[in-house]
Amino acid sequence: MTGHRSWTADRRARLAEPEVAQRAAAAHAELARLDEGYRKTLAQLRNARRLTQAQLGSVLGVSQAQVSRVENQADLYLSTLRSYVQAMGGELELRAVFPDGLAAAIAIADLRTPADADADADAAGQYFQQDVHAAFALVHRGVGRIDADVERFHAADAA
Amino acid sequence: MPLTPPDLSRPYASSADKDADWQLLLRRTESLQELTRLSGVPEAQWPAGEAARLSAVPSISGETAGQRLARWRNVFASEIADLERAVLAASSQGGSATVADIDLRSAVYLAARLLATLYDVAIDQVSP
Repeated sequence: MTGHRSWTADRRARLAEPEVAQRAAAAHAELARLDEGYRKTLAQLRNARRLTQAQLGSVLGVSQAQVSRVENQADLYLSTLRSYVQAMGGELELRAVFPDGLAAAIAIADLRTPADADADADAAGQYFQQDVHAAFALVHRGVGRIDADVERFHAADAA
Repeated sequence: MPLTPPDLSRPYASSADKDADWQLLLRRTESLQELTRLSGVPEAQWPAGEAARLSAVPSISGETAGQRLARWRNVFASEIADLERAVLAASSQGGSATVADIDLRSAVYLAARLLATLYDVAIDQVSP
């Protein structure tokens, strides 16, 4: 269609205009400032809900020490984080934010737990162990026929 | 002449013995792979040591060392492939610990038979 311009091209052209670019930058800065204000550590969230580590632990069925460990852990399973947030009465939401200001919620249909991961690792280990057994079963087959093959080889040697 | 294989069901006396055999299997499998590769390369391009060793095998039928090596590869292709697959499967799972004693002894024996046949030596003369 003549004169048609895509949304992306149109957006880029608009952002190239100094006044629009300035307004967009200001809006991004304001969003970042608001975001920073909302960002809380897990411990701060728990305190805001007036819950102790022991109380949260009893909801989660873990010890106070384990709650403390989760709050100080640098890396967490999403399933652990979700359980923690749910134990405080909330819901975990994830959001991807891009430098151009676009943001999108991430839907995670099936969060895996550490127990799931362990079970999968065990299953994989068993699978590969079966693989090793199957591979060596073929070696045994080779041992069974090696005499015949060697004779065949040497027979041709003398031919 | 058929050989009586050693007692392949004999358990290893220690994990050190088993590890030593595992290392031996790795070396022999590497040798088999290298020989398989050489079977597709002109004799003039073989490493000097291997060329001398393969050429030293007396040929009754008059075939060259290259022709004999190619024939060896064709006859034993499935045994070599089975050994490679077994070693690869075990290596990816932690090595000798995942392999039953009888499996490891069988693999070491099979690799030795293949090399002994090619070099036309007794099985106990196959270099470790």
